[in-house]
Amino acid sequence: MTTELGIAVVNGIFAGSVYALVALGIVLIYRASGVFNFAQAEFGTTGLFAAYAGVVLWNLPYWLGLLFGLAAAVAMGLATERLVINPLRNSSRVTLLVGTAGVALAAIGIQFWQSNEQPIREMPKIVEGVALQPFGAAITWQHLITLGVLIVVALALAVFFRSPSGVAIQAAQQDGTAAELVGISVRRVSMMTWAIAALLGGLAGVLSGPNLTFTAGHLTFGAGAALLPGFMAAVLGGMRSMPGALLGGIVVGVIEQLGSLSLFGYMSGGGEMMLFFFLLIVLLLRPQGLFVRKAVAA
Amino acid sequence: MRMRNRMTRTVALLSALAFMLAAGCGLKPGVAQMYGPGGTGYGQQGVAPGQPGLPGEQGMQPGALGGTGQDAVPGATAPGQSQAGATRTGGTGGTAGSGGPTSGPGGAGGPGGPGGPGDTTGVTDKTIKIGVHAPVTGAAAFPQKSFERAVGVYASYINSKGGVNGRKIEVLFRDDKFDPNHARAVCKDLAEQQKVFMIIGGAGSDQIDSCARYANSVGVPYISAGVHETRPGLGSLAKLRTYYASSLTYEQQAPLVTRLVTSQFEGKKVGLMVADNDSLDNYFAVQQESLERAIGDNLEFAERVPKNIQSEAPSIAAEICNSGVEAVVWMGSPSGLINVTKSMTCTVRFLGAGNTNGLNIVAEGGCPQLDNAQFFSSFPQLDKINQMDPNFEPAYRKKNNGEDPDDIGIAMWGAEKLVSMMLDAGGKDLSRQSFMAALESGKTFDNNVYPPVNFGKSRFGGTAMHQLRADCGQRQFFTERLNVR
Repeated sequence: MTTELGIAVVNGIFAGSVYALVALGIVLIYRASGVFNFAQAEFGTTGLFAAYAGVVLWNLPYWLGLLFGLAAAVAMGLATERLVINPLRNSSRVTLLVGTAGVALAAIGIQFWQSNEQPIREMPKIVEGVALQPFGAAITWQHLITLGVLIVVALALAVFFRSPSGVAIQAAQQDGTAAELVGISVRRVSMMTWAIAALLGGLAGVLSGPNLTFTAGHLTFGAGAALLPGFMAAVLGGMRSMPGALLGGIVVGVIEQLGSLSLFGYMSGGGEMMLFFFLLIVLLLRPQGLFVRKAVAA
Repeated sequence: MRMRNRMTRTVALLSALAFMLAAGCGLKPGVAQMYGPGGTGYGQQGVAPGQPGLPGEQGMQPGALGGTGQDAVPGATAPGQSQAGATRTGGTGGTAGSGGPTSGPGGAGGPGGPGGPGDTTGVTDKTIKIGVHAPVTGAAAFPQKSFERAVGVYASYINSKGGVNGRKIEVLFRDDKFDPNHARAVCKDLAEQQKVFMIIGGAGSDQIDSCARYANSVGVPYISAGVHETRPGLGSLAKLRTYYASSLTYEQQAPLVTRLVTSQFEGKKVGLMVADNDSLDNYFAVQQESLERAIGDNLEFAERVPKNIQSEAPSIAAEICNSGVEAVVWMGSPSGLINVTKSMTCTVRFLGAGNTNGLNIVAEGGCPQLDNAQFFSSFPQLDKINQMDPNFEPAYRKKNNGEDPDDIGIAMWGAEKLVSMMLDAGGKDLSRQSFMAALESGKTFDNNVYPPVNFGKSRFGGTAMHQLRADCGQRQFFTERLNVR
């Protein structure tokens, strides 16, 4: 049982690092524009498909393929902002939310269309092989790189939000008109936010993709499904806290893996059920989220 | 309080959107094709006077009156099975026996009497319309193009030779999305809107189960490769009046799998993992018992795994590697198998029953961990098909503008060829009754692709399986043994 528990925790941390990357993008968009971005995971899958095309189909050097994948994700983020979010900027949040869901479905449709010939695809790892085997769980170099990237990203975001650009994002979200009056271009800030969020999604895609085979909708509902866990992580972090989203991702990953213990007989959906129960309890006890201080009434 | 309400609303909204996204997943528009001679108006041709009535429910009501007006088919029903419950105008033919598991010997349609025309839905003087469903989208993730290319190859071939008893075969294909509910819906469309003569189930045990039970409820003959035999609460597929399994069921393959294990892993530890679909409950029990009897304590674990393995893959892989087993008997979805193998740090031999795990697309995704995996299959692989049936490859290339054939092409070729032989046996005055009577006559159908099939004793007509082995050097399966019994 101890071994099994150890395996679940170790696997959970590494699965959680992908959820955290997705959650960071969700929180970033929510903080900047108040939009629940259902296309966040599809930025990742699109990036993964593009990286696959670069590395496997066009035989580009791996780093170039990876850059191409990330560029594709960012391009999708910018296109979403320009073609969906900006035109709908005065609409209700529900409309915007449905808009992002539409983007996700459109991306999945295109992926299906493009992957008819070979629906199950395999992206090579950055570094092949297993680095560690704690409790017998296989920790690949790819896992370690993903975790390392998450840490770097978290630090970079922390620095970024203290920079003028980071402050501009928060200012634009809090009062767009006032921000414009002090010389902040809300339009540019919005595009920058979506580009960064898409980059985070792209990183989740290109880093997690090689751990499994992938199909259309890989990060939304496929083998690497990270959208719902990403949203859960964001909610655990109170939808506004970047460190909360990061820790939330790791917690969600571990809780989900606990659902796959043989104790539960490999029950189908055991992980998801554990997660929903956990989230329910957290929301009942700490509705503001796990990793944020309780809001003080003004 | 406001914060709490907002969070609650947020979660509700997120859940609703998540379901919306999930519902929208897996959609590939336009996966509905017709092959064979076109230009025929659907649902208008060849329908016998009076639509087929509902068949007698199992063990509940007697079969309806037999056909009238023309010769009824002698011996159309086997003991214990109900006759097609068609009601028609005209004189009265023989009365069918009551159906169901508790029924006695079912009566045949009036032998040689002035019976009515059999149920000729989907049959005209010139054509026979058949439906095929298979998963092109969803968790199975088989290539859409493969099915599009594969379906209708044999129909086109046989049509070019004059068809079956002078009738050309039309094949309608539907994507069941690896979803039992959708499978039922597409089969309903095939039966009621497109008015096909019969339906072929391409792959996916739950989808085949769902469609077979629906087809039985409307009296449409249904043929698939062997899957599970029974489903909790719904009973055995063998009790369905219109269902026929053209290869060994999973339960029937269990002894073959055990023999494969004992012949190669004597004294070694072996594990058993079966997806937790309730349709596999019986197979799991049968296979576990068979292995326990053969290898005793060397059966290290016997477990159920999720139907769609995603985040669980690393844990399952770690358990396999930590257990020290040298082989795992696997029965689950192909994508689940691939995901588990991708997370494994050790090498074990996977082996098992069924058709889909032996497809080359699984070898492509699961290698190198899947090297030497052995799976039973009702059809051979590309290395053998040209020796067994030289017509396959030219016909495939002819229909598909010179494209290289794949193993899904072989599977569909075999299925259509088998059905064509059966339609031929149904005679010139083809009806659903004559077709099923031909199947149950004890005649052996050997199409040189599938192992011989005989429904004389049971609706599970398979007699053997081909044995495939994965070659990760070439990333494909090859045919290791033919007709393993």
